Amino acid sequence: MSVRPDVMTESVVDRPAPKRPYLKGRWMDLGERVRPLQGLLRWRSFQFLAILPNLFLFYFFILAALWGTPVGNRNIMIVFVWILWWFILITLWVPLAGRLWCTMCPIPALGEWLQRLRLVTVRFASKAKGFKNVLFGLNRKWPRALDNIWLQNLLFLTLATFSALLVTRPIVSAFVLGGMIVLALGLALVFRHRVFCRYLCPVSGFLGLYAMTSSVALRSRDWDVCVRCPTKGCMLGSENGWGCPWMVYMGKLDRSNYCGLCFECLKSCPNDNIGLFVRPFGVTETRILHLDEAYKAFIMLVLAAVYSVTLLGPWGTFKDWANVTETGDWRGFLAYAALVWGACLVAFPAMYGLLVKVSQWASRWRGRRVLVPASASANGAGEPDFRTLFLRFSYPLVPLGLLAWIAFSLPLFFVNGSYIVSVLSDPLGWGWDLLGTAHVPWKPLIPEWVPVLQAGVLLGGLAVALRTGWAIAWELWRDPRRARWGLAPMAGLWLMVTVGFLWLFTG
Amino acid sequence: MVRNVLVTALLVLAGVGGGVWWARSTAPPQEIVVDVEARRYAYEPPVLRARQGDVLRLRLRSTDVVHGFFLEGYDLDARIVPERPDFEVWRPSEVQWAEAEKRGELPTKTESSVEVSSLQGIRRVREVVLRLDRPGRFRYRCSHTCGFMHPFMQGELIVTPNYPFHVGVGAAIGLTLAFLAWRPVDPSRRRGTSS
Repeated sequence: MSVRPDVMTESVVDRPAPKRPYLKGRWMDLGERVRPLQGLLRWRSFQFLAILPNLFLFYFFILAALWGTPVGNRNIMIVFVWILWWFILITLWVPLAGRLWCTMCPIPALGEWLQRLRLVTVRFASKAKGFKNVLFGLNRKWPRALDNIWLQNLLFLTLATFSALLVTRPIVSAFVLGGMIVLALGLALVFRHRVFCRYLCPVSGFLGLYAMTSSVALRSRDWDVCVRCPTKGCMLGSENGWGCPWMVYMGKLDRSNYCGLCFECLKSCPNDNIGLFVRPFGVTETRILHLDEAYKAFIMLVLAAVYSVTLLGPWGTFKDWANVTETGDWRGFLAYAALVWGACLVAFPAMYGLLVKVSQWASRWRGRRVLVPASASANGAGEPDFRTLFLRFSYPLVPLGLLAWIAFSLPLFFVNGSYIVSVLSDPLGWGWDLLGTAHVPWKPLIPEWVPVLQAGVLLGGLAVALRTGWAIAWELWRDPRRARWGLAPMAGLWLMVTVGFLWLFTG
Repeated sequence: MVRNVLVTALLVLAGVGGGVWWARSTAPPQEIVVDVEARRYAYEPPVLRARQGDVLRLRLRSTDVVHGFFLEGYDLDARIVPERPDFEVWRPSEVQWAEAEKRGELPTKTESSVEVSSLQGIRRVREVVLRLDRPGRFRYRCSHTCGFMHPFMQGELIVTPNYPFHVGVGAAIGLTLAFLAWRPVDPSRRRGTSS
């Protein structure tokens, strides 16, 4: 069979390179490499089957919390949710797969199924203008003024203030998680798509932030194909898939913050233009765009320190303040709440802002002493303003914060992991011994090695923060000396944060 | 790129070396007597500091409910009953106090003190003696469910030289200085960039 020269010319030589502005460094299209995975993700039942077991477990945990023992370390709700689930989520799912938990989360499932009036299949109306899927409910649009994650930030801070109660009392966990189901259900009937997940869910807020670091990302393979696509099926829906429940347009997506990995776009795209990409951890997606996202990074980092002091620290006063329903020390609790909120929303951002200002002065001062190279002018690198520096330099706090949370979570699992084995046999604390493991004694796993592991994890976080911070400084100033002077105050902050956590965990 | 990697490796190694030097101690060993008071959900004092080679005499008390005292690194566990001057202590920690109680094997006689290195099985004592031959940070935790916050009831025994902390801080400083000394890499010489 002869090769037609004209076809060769068109397909190989003249075909433009795919437009992928989000690609920096090493990326791999996992969907192209592993075709069965692409097939699995396109399978309409995939998400339903991923949610279903979690939904059953979730309701069982709530029942166990309501009817089982109130002693947290003997109740499956506390042991499985706040020890096992949390550890897997923060140490594996988030760094490796970003928002993979959102794929299988049972909390918004009932609301979404009711909104769609379908469990698996798609309701399609070809003549409809705009959205091609038919949704049940009032179908209102989320208010524009709330199109940010401030509500998530405040809700997460509120939950964090009561965290000592949340993670030790099964009944509190049941009411909070049950309340989230009810809220998600109500919102699904009023607003279109997953507004609970996108704007309110406290877990989704930090998953979105830390998904920026993850090694997996869903992206359009070629933005130009999306621009030319007449149907915009990923956004508006098609007969094969629902329009993006997270309200994301794949043709412009270059950050993972708000992509919930539901994989509907893989099904609805008529051009096979959506791929699941694998990329290096933490260093490719380094743009914080808005103040609410920067504050999320501050809040998460400060809360990692607060939890480390309150829950893992040896100081009884903080535990007494946080454990207010048992101690009755409401004055202490108010002081604790004021400390937490003040540190997250005022003290840390103020210190950070001051260092950003110092960074700006330092680079300007250095700039007076050196000639800006021609390459810098050619690249359009001017003098970055305070807001740009404030937002750009907040990204390194994301890998730093995530690794601090992993370091915090290690002793939770290694010290309290043996409760998982005993609770498996007696999930409600009623004296059962289903698997013969109910009386396995509490025994910490490699406790002497935990501080060493924590130190290694914290140093890893600092390395990624410095690496990305250095790249950001270079992008901002395009001159090594000015970038170095601009980076120094911020690097000092990251070092200080790391030493603080080292002291908390190993010092 | 090679220069950056070399600079990073050298400065981190220098930081680690500085951390080891910082952590070392030449003071002579001493004997420390501490009364540890357990209450919901903390120990008083919350942090015990000592040097490698010191001898630590621990007297454990509880002021409210039954608490445990599991000491990491020394595989020691204890049961502290409120308002009693003595306590039950055992090693290895796998020994089941509840099983021993069922079998009626709990000690009835109180000894004035026991040295941890010679401890086997359950003993009732007024004082436990530890020769601190292992440096590092060891937590002591409550091992008997004592209330809602029980899994978070803990204290710290810090035996210097505490290498994970000092070496960690040294490495962090070295790492930070290394990145400040980094030079930009010519993008045309970077390998493995896909498009």
